[in-house]
Amino acid sequence: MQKFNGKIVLLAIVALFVFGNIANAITVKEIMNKLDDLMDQRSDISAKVSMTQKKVGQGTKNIESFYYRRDSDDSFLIIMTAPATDKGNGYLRVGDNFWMYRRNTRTFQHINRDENIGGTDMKGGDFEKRKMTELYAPVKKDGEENLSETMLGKIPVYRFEIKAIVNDVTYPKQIYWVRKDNFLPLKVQSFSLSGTLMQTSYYLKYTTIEGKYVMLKGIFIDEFEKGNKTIMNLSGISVKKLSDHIFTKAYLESLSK
Amino acid sequence: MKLNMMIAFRNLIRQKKRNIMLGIAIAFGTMILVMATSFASGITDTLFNKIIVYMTGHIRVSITEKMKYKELITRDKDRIITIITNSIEGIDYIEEEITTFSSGVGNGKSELFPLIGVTGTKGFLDEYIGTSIVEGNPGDYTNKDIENPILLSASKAKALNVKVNDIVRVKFQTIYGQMQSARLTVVAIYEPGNEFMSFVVYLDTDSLKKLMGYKNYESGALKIALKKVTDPEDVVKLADDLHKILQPGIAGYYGDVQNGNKSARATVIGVSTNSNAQKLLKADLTIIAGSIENIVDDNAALISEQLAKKINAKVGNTIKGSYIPKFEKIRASDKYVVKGIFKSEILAGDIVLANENDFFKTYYNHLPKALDTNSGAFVPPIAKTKIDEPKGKHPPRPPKRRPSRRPNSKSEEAKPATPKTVIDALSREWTLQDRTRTSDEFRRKMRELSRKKWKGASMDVNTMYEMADFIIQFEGALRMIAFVMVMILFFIILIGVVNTLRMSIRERTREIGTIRAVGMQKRDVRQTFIFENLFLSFFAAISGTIVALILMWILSLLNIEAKGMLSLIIVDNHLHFLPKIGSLIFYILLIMGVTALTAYFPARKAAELSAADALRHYE
Repeated sequence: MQKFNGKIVLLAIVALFVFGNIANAITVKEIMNKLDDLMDQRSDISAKVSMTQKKVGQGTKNIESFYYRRDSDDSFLIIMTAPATDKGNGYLRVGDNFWMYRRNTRTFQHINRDENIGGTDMKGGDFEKRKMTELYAPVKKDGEENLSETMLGKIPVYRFEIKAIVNDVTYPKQIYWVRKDNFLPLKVQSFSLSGTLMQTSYYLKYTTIEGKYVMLKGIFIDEFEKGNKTIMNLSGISVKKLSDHIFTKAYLESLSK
Repeated sequence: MKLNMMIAFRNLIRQKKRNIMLGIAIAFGTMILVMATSFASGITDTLFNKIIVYMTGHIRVSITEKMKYKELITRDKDRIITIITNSIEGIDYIEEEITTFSSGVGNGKSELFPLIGVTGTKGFLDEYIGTSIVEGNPGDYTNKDIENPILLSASKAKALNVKVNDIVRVKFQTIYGQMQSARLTVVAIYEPGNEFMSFVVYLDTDSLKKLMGYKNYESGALKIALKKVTDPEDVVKLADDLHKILQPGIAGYYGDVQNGNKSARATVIGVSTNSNAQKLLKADLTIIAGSIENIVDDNAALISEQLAKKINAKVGNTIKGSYIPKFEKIRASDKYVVKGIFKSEILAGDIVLANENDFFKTYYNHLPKALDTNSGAFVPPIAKTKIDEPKGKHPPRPPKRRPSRRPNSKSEEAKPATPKTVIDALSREWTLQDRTRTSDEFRRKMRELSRKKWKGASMDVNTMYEMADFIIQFEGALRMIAFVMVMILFFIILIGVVNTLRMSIRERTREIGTIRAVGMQKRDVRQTFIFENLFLSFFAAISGTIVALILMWILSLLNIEAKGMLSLIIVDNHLHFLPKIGSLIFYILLIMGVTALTAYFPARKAAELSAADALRHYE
């Protein structure tokens, strides 16, 4: 009878462990692909967006709007409903045309994607359907991706760092904390070109609509000017097909009345 | 006439008291007119030559790329500067316009302000800022050991709650729309000479360029300041001349085109994809495979048959074009999908015509080397041309049309209206916008531009007078108001003149009779009275002008601490008057003319008196 070769068994166990882990190890690129897939809306969407903006020395401002998005060409329409000074103003993007509508002058004005929306820090470019993998790549340290497993409160998360590979994104560097189980982003830190932390975003609540995740509540903390923050809530979300006449200037004008 | 003038002059000094009083009144009116119009000219001079010239220069050359960012960017600034210096005489300096609007946080306080890049020259530090320093050392502005040294006004320092050596953190967007932040160190605080200077914060140009994402060889707009400007029309003419010189070359490069493992040297040129361009392509290119219409697709390209054979390319293949850029060592490359293969009599050799929307994305970020070292332009291999390229001539103006309120759904270009051959379908390095003459025209042009989807670069040449012609209009309005008010004043004065003249004629009726009796004609009598008033108005106007000049000099010596908008009309805490010789002479002649006209009717009446009746006249 052959002697039981403990060494071989041990080696096999070690090999199983090592190769098993390699087979299960995830990369930042894979997580980014999953995020793209999670966030990829393949239907029209409409929602009510409420934002509470707190600024140091300026108090609290409530901003409300309705948001409509057409999936086929990534057009969108935003109509402001609060505060009273902005009520009736709106934004419409169809193809390469991006307009801002002012209710008091009843005029449309061409703007570009870098314009702020409704006095917030959101820009037209933020609404564009662009994949994360087209805009960012993992940051590597000594050839290794900057990816680690950690806890965010009581939730196990992946933490990874990415940097922009195009120059027309707002934040050239970001750090993500995403859930290990379903890859939903829970926290994102956004950095300026010079590496200064500018904003921390917390995604507190999600819902699923037709298998896709939609954020319901988020908090965006201004790290540059301490004390400023914005709380965003989405409600009344619908993925019903939207009529084409919604994405017209005439409709935006009629809504503003 | 000489005798009449002598008599008139003698009569003038005969009635001293009356004429002195009249003269004082006319002098007073002249003084008011000269001072008011000189003040209006002074305001314009201050706004143009002491504020706006630093903001925009006398002439400004700006390039905008109609892509996804809004800042001005001159990709090859040395080339443009060379063209400018070779074309214009009398240049004082050319400065890069590097500016951004930022949000700054000081010690517990935050503010919005423009951040302006200024090179720390002696002229700026010593002459412009140096005389008004409140705290700190302006010399530290060029100190490389200090992190981003800045200069700011006392009011801005107070708003941010900072002092010298404090840090101001700023955030703003780069020219590509990326969020940027920086720490700025206050090295000096100054008391601003005008209201505009109180808003801004000055940072070294090179530092701000780097933060904003400009490369060393890039710049914002270029501001040209001229040495001596006496007439705005001279500046406008120079701008027109410069505009003619800045004609763009064709946008393209010589490089390698690869299909799989086959490659060849080839010319890659951007091509317009609008309907006009497609017509021209169809007229000149003979399609061997594929179709010209598909050039509108993303990353589409048409390649010459010769090249297709060399690299074994077929319709549907993805080819890669690469070249060594002018300013970088790493090759730039881009990929295109072959949508058509053509033959052409005009475009010779191995050619790729690439959809300009995609072509420009690589082209502008990695400018290719120029082949024409004189002009710095790319020279495409053109077998023959059917029309001459316009060289040195002003390009034809497109027909004027009302700006449309409705956006076009199809892609439009800011190009001349009627292209003629396939050469005109080729992309240009930039589109040269038409010159405008007024602020309204300039604004209309900008609105039109914002509606177009032209993805290439758009160059504009304008003068500060067009961009701020409201200032010229403002001066004109001020002058008109001053002129009208003084004319009203003169009207009142001239009533006195007429009345006095009538009294004088009445008193001298017998004298008139006497001189008529000894042979003086009616015309001579009339002339005598008119000359008398001309002399009066001349001496009074001269006196009034001299008094005005003296008063203006005295007033300009007063030290005035002006705040707010009033500081716009104050230069270094002093009032600024700008009398113009031409205007002074005009006013004097005008006053003389008006007085002469006023005196004509009573003088004519005096001349009509019969000698006999005049001699019999008793008071």
